[in-house]
Amino acid sequence: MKIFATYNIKGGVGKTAAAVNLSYVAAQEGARALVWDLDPQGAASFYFRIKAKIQGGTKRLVAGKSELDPLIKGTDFPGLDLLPADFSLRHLDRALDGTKKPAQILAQLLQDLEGQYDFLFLDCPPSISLASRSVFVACDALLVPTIPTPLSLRTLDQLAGHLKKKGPKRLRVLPFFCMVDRRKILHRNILEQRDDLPMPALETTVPYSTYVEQMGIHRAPLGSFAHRSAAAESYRSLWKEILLQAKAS
Amino acid sequence: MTHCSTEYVLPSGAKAEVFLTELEDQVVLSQPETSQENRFFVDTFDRRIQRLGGSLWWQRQKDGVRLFWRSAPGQRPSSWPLQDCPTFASALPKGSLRTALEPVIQMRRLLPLVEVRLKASVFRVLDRRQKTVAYLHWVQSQAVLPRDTAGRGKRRWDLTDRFAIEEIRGYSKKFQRLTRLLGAAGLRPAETTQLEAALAAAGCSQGSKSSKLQLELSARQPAEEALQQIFLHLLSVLEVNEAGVRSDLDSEFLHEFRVAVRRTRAALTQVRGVFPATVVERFRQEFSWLGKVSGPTRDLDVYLLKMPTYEEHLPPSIRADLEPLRHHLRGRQRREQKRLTRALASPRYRSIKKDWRQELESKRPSGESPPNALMPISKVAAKRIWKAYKKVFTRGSAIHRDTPAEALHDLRIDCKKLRYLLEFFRSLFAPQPIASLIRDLKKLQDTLGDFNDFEVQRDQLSQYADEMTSEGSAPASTLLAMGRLLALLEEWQHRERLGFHPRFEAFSKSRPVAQKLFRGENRS
Ligand SMILES: Nc1ncnc2c1ncn2[C@@H]1O[C@H](COP(=O)(O)OP(=O)(O)OP(=O)(O)O)[C@@H](O)[C@H]1O
Ligand SMILES: [Mg+2]
Repeated sequence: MKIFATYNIKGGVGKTAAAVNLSYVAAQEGARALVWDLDPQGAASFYFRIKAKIQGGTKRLVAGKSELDPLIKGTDFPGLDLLPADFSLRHLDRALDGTKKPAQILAQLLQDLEGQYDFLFLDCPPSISLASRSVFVACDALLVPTIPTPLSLRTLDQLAGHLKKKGPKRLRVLPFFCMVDRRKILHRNILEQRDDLPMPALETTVPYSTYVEQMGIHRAPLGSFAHRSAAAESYRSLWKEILLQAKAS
Repeated sequence: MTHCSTEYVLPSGAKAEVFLTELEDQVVLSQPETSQENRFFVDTFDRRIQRLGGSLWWQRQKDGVRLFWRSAPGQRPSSWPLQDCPTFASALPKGSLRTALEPVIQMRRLLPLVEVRLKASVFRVLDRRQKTVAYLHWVQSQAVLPRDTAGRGKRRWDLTDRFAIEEIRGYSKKFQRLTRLLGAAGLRPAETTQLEAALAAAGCSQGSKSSKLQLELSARQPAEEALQQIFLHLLSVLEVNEAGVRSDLDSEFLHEFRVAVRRTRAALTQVRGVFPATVVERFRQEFSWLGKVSGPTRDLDVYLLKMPTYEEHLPPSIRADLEPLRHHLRGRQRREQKRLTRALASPRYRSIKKDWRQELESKRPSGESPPNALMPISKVAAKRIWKAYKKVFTRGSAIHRDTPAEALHDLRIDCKKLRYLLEFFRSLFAPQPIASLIRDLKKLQDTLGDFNDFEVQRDQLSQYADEMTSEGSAPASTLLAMGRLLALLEEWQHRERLGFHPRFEAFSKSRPVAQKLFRGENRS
């Protein structure tokens, strides 16, 4: 079981779009995949038309009182399940703060899913916090969607700096460019200088696409309603690349 | 295809469309997605896969076929792409499937059983958000039998529609509600699998008659009648296997055929005074002829079946050297098979079957019956069995370390006769002691049988070596490998010889049980 987290300090950069679309691709290819919607906004749950849970599930989870299993929901797509957002996740930081080994908790919870799934996708809310720390410990690689703008690059530097000091050594960081608009000179320039990034970015870039925006209308992964679109194609090749990287590590 | 563990059928007379319309008053259903599948079920002639509880089928797909295996009803099937539909276990995909099925299918051929044509419609059951919370499957199907050798064209039967609900993880309440709705509409869990339903519709639920004797005789039945019943059963086994023998579908047809022949002969000669002597004499000769004309093919079949085991016991470097032997055996097998096919097409064989059946189905005029014909069968049987037992006990105890091999062969024949008698008449005696007696006897027979087989195989191997040498088809390396095989067979035979004494000793312990069961019967 490989665990990925779609992660970025910045908000609105395509983390949820990546988690939803990459997990869909993985499941279409025959793998068993699970998305854990860790964002209290519940965007990933929304895309799969699954109601977010309102009870204090996370607190109980962290306290070791209940298991993940009964919370998992099957999506409309074979092989793809979702662990819906829980509004009390807002308090995940606080809940973790009260435990002895906050960083290990998530990893332990996920261990129960070993054997049930081939790939886990943790869709994270933006921020660096205790909760992020436990994500870093639990997962094999961070998938970092990055919009090709100077500001985004700066946050990537920040993340790199943070991980260097505090991150687990084995954690891989895989940035990729998304919402790329080739008509914008700024985007083109940054892509040409991609070698200057603090860590190598994946080759594949996700283009800016109205289809991605339409996911909110269809409430479904891109591939299920715009299979042939360039953006859907880009998520498929992005997934291929991620798999290669995951195998190499 | 998706998978559900419980299938439901409509109450008789109900219409699927009406049920669906009514269901839509309660739940929101999407437009169905439909698909079609033609499943070609296969099994051995004696339904080994069915008896195992599984089902095996293939479907055509681009560039070949896809093979499906369901280990038990309600289980999710696994599937593999294949070039062609498999005919023998060796053609199954390597791995878990072959490991599971090879010991069951053994040497038998996978034959087409029935084709099931399905039209599946899958409805999504939706909630307020249009999220799928379950799937409803509706399967319409037909059983199809292909054109057959009896000249019947393709035949079809409509099967009862089936429904199933597929649960989605995390939506068990919705699943339960749907289950209740189906129940309320009068749907009931299907009692048979789709395959069983198809076989029943096509009138082939029952597999072929097994050569296993499952006779129900009654103690006071006159001996003549009981024997007729036994012979008729054996005759039907013979006839059922005949077509498979003719076309050499697999080696087991001939084996079963020959067992029926041998049993017939044993019953004829072992139970005396029930049929007129002239009848016994004629058919003893006829069945003896049938045994003889089918012997060479069977011997070669056995050799070919054993080849992989032989090779396994030779060093890997010389295994390939046996290939010319295999080639030789195959050639001879084909020739002998042809000869056998001719014999089965002969007027002699036809009249054996016809006359024998007439003999068995007719009633002898009263007053002309041989002495034992009207005796109760239990008396006749017990007497014969006990006599056979005594012979085995006496002959067996006389065998010592350096008794010549002949004695073991004679004992083997005696044991065989005893075994046949026990099997013919087991329904007349208490089931438990009979079963344990047969078990004990079988163990002894295994040792004696192996001892004999190794000897026969040695003789044959020398004979094949002669044949191949005179044909010039045996390179020196092959002859050397055969020489090593010969030594191996000798060693194995010796091992069986050593095993005989402990086996016989164990067998002797069954004497009191046998005595009580059969001699007791005699006295009363
Ligand atoms: N490639 C793209 N082309 C066009 N729009 C996109 C693309 N990727 C994402 N978007 C849009 O950008 C917005 C933010 O995307 P998304 O929710 O995936 O980002 P996020 O990083 O998960 O945000 P948050 O930090 O709020 O969780 C959404 O409205 C989405 O439709
Ligand atoms: Mg998000």
